Amino acid sequence: MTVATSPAFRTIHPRVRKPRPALMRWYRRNERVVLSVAGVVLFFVVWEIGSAAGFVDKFFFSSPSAIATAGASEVTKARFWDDVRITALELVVGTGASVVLAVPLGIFIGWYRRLSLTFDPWLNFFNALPRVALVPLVVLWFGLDWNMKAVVVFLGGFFAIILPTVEGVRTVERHLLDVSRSFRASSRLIFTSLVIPGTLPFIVSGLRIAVGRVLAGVVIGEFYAQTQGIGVMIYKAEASLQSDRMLFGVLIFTVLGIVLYESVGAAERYFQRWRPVREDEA
Amino acid sequence: MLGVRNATLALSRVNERLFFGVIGFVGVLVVWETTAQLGLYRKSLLSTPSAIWRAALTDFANGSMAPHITTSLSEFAAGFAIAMAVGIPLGLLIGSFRRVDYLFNGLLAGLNATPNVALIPLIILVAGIGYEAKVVVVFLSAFFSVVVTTFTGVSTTAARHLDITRSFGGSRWLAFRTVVLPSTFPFILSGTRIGLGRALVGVVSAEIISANQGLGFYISLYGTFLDTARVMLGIIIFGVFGVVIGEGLRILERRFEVWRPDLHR
Repeated sequence: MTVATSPAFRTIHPRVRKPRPALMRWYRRNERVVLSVAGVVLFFVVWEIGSAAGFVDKFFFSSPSAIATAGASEVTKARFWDDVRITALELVVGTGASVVLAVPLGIFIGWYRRLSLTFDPWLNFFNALPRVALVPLVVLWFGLDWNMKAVVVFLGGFFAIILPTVEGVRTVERHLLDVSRSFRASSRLIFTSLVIPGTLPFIVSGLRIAVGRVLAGVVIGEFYAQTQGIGVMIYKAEASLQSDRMLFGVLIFTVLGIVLYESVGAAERYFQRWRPVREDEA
Repeated sequence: MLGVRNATLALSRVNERLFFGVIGFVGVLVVWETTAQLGLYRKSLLSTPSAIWRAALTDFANGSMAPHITTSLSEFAAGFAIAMAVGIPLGLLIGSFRRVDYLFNGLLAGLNATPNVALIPLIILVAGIGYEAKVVVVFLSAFFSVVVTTFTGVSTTAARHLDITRSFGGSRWLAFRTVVLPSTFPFILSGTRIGLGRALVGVVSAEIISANQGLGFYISLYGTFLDTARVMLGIIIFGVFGVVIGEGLRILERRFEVWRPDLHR
């Protein structure tokens, strides 16, 4: 780099920027949303065109318009709403029971260090175990009715929630506990002002894991038992080669999954907003 | 003096963890065995540790277990290897270009939120009930979590580091190699761990629903025979497998934890 070649002083004029057209500005601001919607739309368009032109096999993958038609005729049937009711019942009872049991139990176990060490191997074992492997066993215990699926859902949610909860209680900051004890805070106060807020983010991230497991649980339970529910509708539609009806059923679970993940994500952001933003995240 | 005390304290802590762990593990087994022997519930519901042990000894000795395990393992390994081989480069590619990232974001999030087991009937329809179908199920189960975590990792690379690289005249390729790749690596590892868990669920589900070999088939077959000891044996093997791969990945992750941002998933 030689100084001589470059002029010693150079005035830099600010570039006058022409204002962009309004539409362009709107696009710039919402590029993320616009493009991701475009991506989804493009996916369906390619699928539709592909099945019409023949490079997507209609027999297997149907087409968005056929799925929409199948869905429209499906929602007029009483049987469909029975299926929806049953699946919803299984999900709500199973998930509800897993939250109601796992959270207090996790806090209890986590509070006593030795107790948590004692339970550690089994909790880790059941958490690592693909819980669908338990389905045949659950059938032995509960038969094929809706309550068996609720139990499968429960097992999916329970271990996903209890493990982070134990972890959360266990990792409540030592020095905060010491300070509270030094100032003779009652255990009740320690519990409500330290343990609960410290554990909440962990419980929520457990819930996030639970969402996927709970949905997989209900689907597998219904595939296995084949009595009633959206899963059964999917399975029977496949058996009678109605891929449009089958994919309509899958789509219901997709929408449900997105809604549940988004709500848990919103809860997660809500409970983490007090956290200082770390430098590498900024 | 203090150092010695700390060292012994640390040792007792380690031992305590082991001590109570063993107590919990053995305690449950003992309670399980005695309550079953006392006849507090029917043995067909839960079997007993001793019966499971006998079942394990006979099935491993006469070689009837080995083909199930190798079938499940090879389905799992093939599907997962393909998911990694396709998912990681695709995730890196998508994440490297902002607009491509936006374009695929919604779609991949949706596919990731779909319980992939719901696609098993479709896969059976397309690929039959043989080996290939299970490989596809495993692949699909693991693929989306690998792709999604990889491109999340790429797109959360610290912008400042990229700016610095560019300020010093580094090429896009240099930035990719020295900034993006190392900071994405932990994400790839967590994606792998999540994917492994899901792949395991995938292989079990596919085998339980329709198969003629494999551990999942073994479980559901003996479930219909009410042979609870063998059902339990299959479950335990899956559990041990899950623990081993989970812990292995966790050890790897801890190795890189120093600069790993929190990713609760």
